[in-house]
Amino acid sequence: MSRKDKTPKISQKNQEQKKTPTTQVGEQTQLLDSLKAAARRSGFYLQRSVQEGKLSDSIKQAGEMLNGLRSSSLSPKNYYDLYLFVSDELRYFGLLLRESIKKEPIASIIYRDVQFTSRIIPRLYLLITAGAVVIENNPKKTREILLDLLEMCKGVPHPTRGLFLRHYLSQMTKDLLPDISESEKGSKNGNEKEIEKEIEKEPKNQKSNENENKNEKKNENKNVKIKKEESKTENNKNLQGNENEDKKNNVLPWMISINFTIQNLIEMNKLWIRIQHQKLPGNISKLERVSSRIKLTEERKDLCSLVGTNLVRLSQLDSVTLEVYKERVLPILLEQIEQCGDKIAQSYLTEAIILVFPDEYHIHTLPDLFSILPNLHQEVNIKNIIILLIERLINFANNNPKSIENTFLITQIFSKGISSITRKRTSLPRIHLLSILNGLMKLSLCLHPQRIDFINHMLSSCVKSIAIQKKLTKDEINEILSILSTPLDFYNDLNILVQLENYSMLIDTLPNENRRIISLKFLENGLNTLTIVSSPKKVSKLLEITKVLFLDSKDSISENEEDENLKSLFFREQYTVCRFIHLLRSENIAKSFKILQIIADTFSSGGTRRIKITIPPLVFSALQLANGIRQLEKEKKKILNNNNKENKDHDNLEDIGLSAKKIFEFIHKIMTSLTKLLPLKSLKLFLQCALASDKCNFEPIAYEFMTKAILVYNDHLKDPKTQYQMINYISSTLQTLRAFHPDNYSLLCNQCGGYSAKLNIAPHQVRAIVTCSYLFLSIIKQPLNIAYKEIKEKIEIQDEKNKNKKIVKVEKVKKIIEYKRPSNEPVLLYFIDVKRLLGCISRAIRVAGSLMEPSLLFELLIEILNTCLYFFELDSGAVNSSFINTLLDLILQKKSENESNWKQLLTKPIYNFYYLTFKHIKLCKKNKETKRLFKPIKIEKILKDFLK
Amino acid sequence: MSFFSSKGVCTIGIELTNVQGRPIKVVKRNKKNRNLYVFSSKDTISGVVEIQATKKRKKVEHIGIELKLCGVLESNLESGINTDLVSSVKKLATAGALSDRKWQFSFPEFNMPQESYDGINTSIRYYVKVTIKRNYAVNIKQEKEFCVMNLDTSIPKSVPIKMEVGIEDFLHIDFTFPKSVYHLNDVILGRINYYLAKINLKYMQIAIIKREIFRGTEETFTEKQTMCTFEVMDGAPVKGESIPVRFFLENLKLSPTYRKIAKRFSVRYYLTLFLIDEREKRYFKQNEIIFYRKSIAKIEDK
Repeated sequence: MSRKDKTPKISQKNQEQKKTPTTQVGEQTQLLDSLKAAARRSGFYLQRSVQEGKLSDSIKQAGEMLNGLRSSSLSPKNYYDLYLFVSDELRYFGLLLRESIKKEPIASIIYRDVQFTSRIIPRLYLLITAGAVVIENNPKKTREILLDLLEMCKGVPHPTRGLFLRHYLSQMTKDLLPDISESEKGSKNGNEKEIEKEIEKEPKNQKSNENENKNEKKNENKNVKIKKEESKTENNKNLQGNENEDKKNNVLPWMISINFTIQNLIEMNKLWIRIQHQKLPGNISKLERVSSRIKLTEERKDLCSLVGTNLVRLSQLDSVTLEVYKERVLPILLEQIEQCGDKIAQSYLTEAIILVFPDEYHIHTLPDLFSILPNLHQEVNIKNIIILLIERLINFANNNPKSIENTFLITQIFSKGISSITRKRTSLPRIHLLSILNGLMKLSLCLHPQRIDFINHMLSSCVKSIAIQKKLTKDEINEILSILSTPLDFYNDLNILVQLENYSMLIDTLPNENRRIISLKFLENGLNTLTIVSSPKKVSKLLEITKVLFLDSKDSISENEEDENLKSLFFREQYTVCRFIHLLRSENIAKSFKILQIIADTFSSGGTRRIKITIPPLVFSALQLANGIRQLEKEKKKILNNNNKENKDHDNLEDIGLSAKKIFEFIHKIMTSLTKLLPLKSLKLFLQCALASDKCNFEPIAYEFMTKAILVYNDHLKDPKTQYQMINYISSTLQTLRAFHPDNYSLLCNQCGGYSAKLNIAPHQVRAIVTCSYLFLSIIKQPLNIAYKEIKEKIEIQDEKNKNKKIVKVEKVKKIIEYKRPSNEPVLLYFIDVKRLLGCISRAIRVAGSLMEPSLLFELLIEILNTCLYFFELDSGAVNSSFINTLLDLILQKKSENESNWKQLLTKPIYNFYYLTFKHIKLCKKNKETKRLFKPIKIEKILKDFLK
Repeated sequence: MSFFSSKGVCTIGIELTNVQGRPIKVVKRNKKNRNLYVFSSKDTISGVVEIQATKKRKKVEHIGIELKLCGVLESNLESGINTDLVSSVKKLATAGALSDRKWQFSFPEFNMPQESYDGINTSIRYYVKVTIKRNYAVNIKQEKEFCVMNLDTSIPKSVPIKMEVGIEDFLHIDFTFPKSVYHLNDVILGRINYYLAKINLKYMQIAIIKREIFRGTEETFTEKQTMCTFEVMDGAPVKGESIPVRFFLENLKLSPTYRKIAKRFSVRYYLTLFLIDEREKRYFKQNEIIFYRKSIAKIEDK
């Protein structure tokens, strides 16, 4: 099946590259088919001869069948196809040999007879087949036969055919290679001696003859002085030398296997490389030449696994222990890789070594591996090799934790290796170097995450590599982003990341848009992991790293960006920043404040577009801190009161001169820049600040904030609707403030009232005034005991400063406090000014009455009525029953004035409002507690009129 | 076993004795395989001649019967020139009438330095021949052929062969064979070393070429025969490579090298290397090699 699958693939490839694809493909298929047919025919005769047990006939037929493999016209893939077919058929021949050899000991005859074949390709295939059978039959001959086969295979320097021939050699001998097993280890010396004897016993053997000859030849070779051949001769000498040495040292059987496999690998590699350098026919055009070269390269790559089988074989040998690998295998392989000088072979073999041998071996041979990398062909993709190695090691380390002893040594080797590569390989693309450094960083994180200094060192290497003035490509940028993300994703802790001194330097090399991406990722990481950064130093580093988000620059995205995506990105960034700053805080108040100041400094250079978004959260952060300080101060006071002893924390606060006041000053400062930019928001913030400072009982500060708020209202708000909303905010805020001296409070109330009355739109005016009316009867909406406590506290604090003045206030407040509501629930009245309250209500009624729109009039009237009922129910005396009655009369009067279109005027919600209000009054009249208060209210008539 | 030849007058049978255990060589004579006993020089050639007259009623006169042992160099290049290499004659009978008779004969330790040889145009044959001489009619003859093979005692001194093939700046190859002298079942071992090969070689083969050189009275004839070709390399080598050659002579039916037999006949062998490039252009180099006989197999194929 697999064979059939391969053919179409090749057809496709050909079609792409050839001018006349159909004929080419056709020719190839035709040729393959005819060769296969011929082989099948000979195979048939071969089988018959085999069945008849005729050895010499079989040799002839097998040789005949193998002739197809002499073809030069097949593409490597088709050749492979034929090779598979033929080598499959050759099994019959092997069977016959095996049978014959069992009957009589004719091994050497068989081995000789196949060599009568005059064609070299069939001859060598047969020789290998016979050799395998001989070894199988008499393992003592292994060494002799293997060496002979290796030698004879040199007769086929044709790249493709030689490669397949040697692959066949490798295939046929794979199960025959002597290996070491646990049980054998003890007796290996004994075996070896036997083999030596065996060799000595057959001095007349052709093989030893040949060895003699070889020696002679070698000597002659040495005499031939050809400089360029030095390396080759050297190689031969080595081979010879090794052999001699082997004999002297009683070479172990398993060494034969290793040497054999390595030798075959080296030869196959040479052949494989040579495919690339085959001379092309001279009569083709330049274009064809180029495409032929490309095709050759492609075809060559397809054949790599043939070479690789030898490496696999080596790795499967138990005898290749770490020691053997290090001493005997790897050095030879590396030397070969280095010497061959071919880029494809170098990258394939290096990667194959990394993949095929156990990771443990690599750990112990890293310096050796690295020693050749700088010397590889300039076009070899060193990056892929190193990354592969790194990935393997990471994988290994993850699967076998604690199995690596000296982890730092490993990364040191990598680091040194890489720096020597960058020194020697000037053509190493920057992107590759970056990828390598990224990989190394990952390895380092995996092996020794605690070595932040090393990560930092890597980052510095990245920065250095970028220092060359050349614009970063898109890929390089992505790689840098990946480098930056690596420690981020690994540690998931900004506190560790800010220790990386070179991080911000590397970020700075990026274009702004990419810096923004990584900075944002940075912040999001902090938010996702909820990492609190509590040291001011770290905070400033963090802000330095991510500064692109805070600083205003030419190419930064604008709020008014046309592009919706960019615009939304800008907001996403800034809102992330807003969320993020809440992570920057410390248990230590002083540090927190310092952090806030750092943030504020950074934000201040962010330009108006950023400030608009970023200042508010900073303000809230500061307010929170202020609250914290307030709590501390409270505790301090408690301790002072109880023990009269001093507490260290509070000392600290005082030592650094930090108080809530200072925070409010800080807030005030950062707010000033905001008022013009963002009046509405700053107004609201001022109100917030006022609330917070009021809580801290800082009357002057709270007053200042309120004044600021009102100032903003006055100076910047022009839109009537906004004005109406904001005045409502202001008066509602004011109503909850509690730290004020009544004089100051009433001053602010006046201003509120004044602005409410100035509203342009009448209904707004009415409603704002009604809201203002609440200011003049301000109650503390808390259970009495808590409210008492709070007030008392305030009084006491103020007592310390100016006793006389405050007593007055205490008196005033106290007098009003004792009011009881009908519900028997006493409330604390904070402030009351009946005259102005009534003034407000009356003004509201008056303005409402002048309205031209009756429907609106009824709406406003019922609202006013409700407000009045609220005051009435408080039983504060500000609003009495007759006032309510007058109001009810007014409503009735207005109703009768609009009797004609009454139904249209009174919409369902308004009607319900009236209905419920009246029902409430009715209920209160019945209620035991409120009966007395509500008795004077005359509701009957209006009820009859409204609810009929 | 004896062969009788009949000329209508009588049958002459010649039988060799002293053949027990002798190797046999198969040759083709008149398109038929004949088994010849193999003798060596200094062997005693002995046998029995038996004449039976077929027409007993009629008396056949002869002027004498001779037995001749001879080794002859025959060539079809110049007809009629057959050179006796060795010969010895025994008179079996003087003139008289032919009658049934038997003779024992023996040529003790006969000297036959030249081996039997079957070439294309030239051959060396050994036989025992009985001739009944007649005055008035054609002589009656009968031959019994046998084969001579000699083990070489004085083996020529072997020198290493080194051949270089070179085209300046294009090709530089040498072939080295440690021996120039081989016995007939020997293996030729050697190496081919490449120093420079800019020519795109396709393959290489070696061939053993036999030359029969016959010096006639007027001119010298040389006959070339390629005994075998043997591919030793497939593809183009790169510089510095060294290709092994291992070539078994055993199956090739070679003869030893002969030099100037009877001053007019030689058989020489040459080891020739062919390099064939992708345009089928051939480069070759040859060197004489000398074969000698080291052993005689039980049955020598034709």
